[in-house]
Amino acid sequence: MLAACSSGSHGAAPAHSIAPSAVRETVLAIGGSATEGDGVRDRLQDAWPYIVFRDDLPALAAFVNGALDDATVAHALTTQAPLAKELKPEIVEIWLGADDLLAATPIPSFTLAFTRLVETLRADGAQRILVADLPTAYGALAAQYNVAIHSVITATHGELVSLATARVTLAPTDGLTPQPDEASHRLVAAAFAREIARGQSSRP
Amino acid sequence: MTWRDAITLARRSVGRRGGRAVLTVLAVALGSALLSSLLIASGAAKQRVLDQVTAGGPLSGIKVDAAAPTPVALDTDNPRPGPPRRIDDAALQKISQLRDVTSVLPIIATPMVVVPPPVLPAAAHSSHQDNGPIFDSAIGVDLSRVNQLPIAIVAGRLPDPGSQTEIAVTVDFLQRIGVTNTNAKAIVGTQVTMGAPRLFNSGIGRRSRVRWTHAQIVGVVSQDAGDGLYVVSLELARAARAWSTAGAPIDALGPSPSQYSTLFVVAHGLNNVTGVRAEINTVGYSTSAPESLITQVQRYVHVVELVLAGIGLIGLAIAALGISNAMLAAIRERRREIGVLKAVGAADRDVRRIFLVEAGTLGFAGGTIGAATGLLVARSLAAVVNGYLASQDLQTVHLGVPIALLAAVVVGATVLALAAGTLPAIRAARMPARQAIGDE
Repeated sequence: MLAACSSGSHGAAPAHSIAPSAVRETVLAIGGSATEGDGVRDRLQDAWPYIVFRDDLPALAAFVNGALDDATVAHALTTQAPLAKELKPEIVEIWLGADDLLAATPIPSFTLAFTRLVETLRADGAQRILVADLPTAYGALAAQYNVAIHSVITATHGELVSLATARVTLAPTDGLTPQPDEASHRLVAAAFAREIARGQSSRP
Repeated sequence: MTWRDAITLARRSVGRRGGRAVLTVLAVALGSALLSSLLIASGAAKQRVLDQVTAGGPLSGIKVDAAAPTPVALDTDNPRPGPPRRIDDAALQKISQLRDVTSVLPIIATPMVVVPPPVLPAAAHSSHQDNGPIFDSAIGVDLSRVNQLPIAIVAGRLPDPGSQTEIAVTVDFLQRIGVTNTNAKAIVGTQVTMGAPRLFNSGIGRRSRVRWTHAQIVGVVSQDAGDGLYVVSLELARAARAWSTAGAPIDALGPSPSQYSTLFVVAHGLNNVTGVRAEINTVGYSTSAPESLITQVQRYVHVVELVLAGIGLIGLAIAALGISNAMLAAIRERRREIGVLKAVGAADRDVRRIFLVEAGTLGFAGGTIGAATGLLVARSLAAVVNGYLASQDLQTVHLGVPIALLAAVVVGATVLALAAGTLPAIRAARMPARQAIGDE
């Protein structure tokens, strides 16, 4: 019934102790198939956004994974970005581009849509917007999309989560396009966690 | 002769016949112990049965469903609810103002996914545990007034009022993750991930998004406030429901469109439950309350209490006969003393007073020892019974110290002893001095 709960899971207990009353921090993940958790056996356990939520976010964080499979940036702008208006997230984690690459979205359209996405999120209250680029595993065209992603980050004051040189491996999955394997999800999670921690340590 | 003289003479008499006095006190103590232990045990059993029926809530509790009543709604304890009808703050207010309503507590049931904690092997009753996410309902209640709700703590504690990060799980949840009730404490303090689901329509059909948070299991409860595996604060349930209801309907397990899924109304006494139910029926809501069941249980338990009290009273009556017998024997042995007392000017009432003080002292001492022994016996019995209940994964019996009952047993034993000593005292008082001394 619930897509996020459809696979088996081991107990995912956070390693934090929780004070009963404190202010929550909301984190929103935006992305495509990989961010939704396609290709891993247990998305609540092994998909990168849930690893970050479980291991690296504050105990009082609330987390929503807004990702949808086959989501291009333009698609995310209409189906995922509205969540920011409702949730007013402190942190937005974005990993998009792979489905634009597959759909061969023209770079200018991609750049424009991505800029609008980040600006919309910012206008809707997102305080920190972390954007990951594409690993080389997605092919030679990834570099062109990465140039666009980097330019959007610079223009919109986003924070880059660099995956371009990360050893991400795409594994074939049943009936789907190849998706990052579980080890790659851990790499992606670690990269996002590092960026989240870096931003928090630089806060007053 | 003053009371002090009478007490001194009675004490001296008891001291002179120590063996007989001890035996008499023991007889009274045995009777009192039997009576008090039987009444304490039956009282605890009655409470246990009523707790089972009401899940620890008030006897006069009434559940108001978010549904209209059917024409036969008042004929049974648990009627079939009619068509859905929303309960909002206005309805809550209206019901609060009904006659004989003591309190009205709102309850919010909302769907919740919980990823259970890894179970300690020692706590699990089965090697096969389902540690996958469990989709069920969370019951949000006003935790500052939980004593008015049918919620009983099995282990740990309840979440703090207003807490967004603490949950209590039910014994049914323990079964789902393969933990026995006796090991309930093993999961108290563990942390879980919980999420409020929202369904939405995407281009490829219905999908879900879950708002995840971390929470700590602070207790295990047995509850009848609503159908759900988790008990949380009203505020947490409200936030989760707000997220879930913003999406598409989630079938039967989804959040009710009603602001409150149930109201728990406490009537002013069990006798008013029927009347309050009828009034709520008139307001337009279906209600349920175990009033008939409670009345029947109370009736049956009262019969048992009468039988047990009868057995105890027979024991005390036998002890009273022992006092009477001991006092009559004492009169025969103390004729000379009675004669001397009368010869030096003691009135009949003075002699009567000495013997009544003696009887009362024996009764009081026996009653006190017996009440204390009865409490110890009842506690020993409770320990044995609790051992059995725990082995069967059932809720144990709580035995308090019924001070009023124990005081009543002591007073009762004293009064009975005085009554038993009255006839011998009268006989002693009426004995002519010449006859008393002459017989010697």
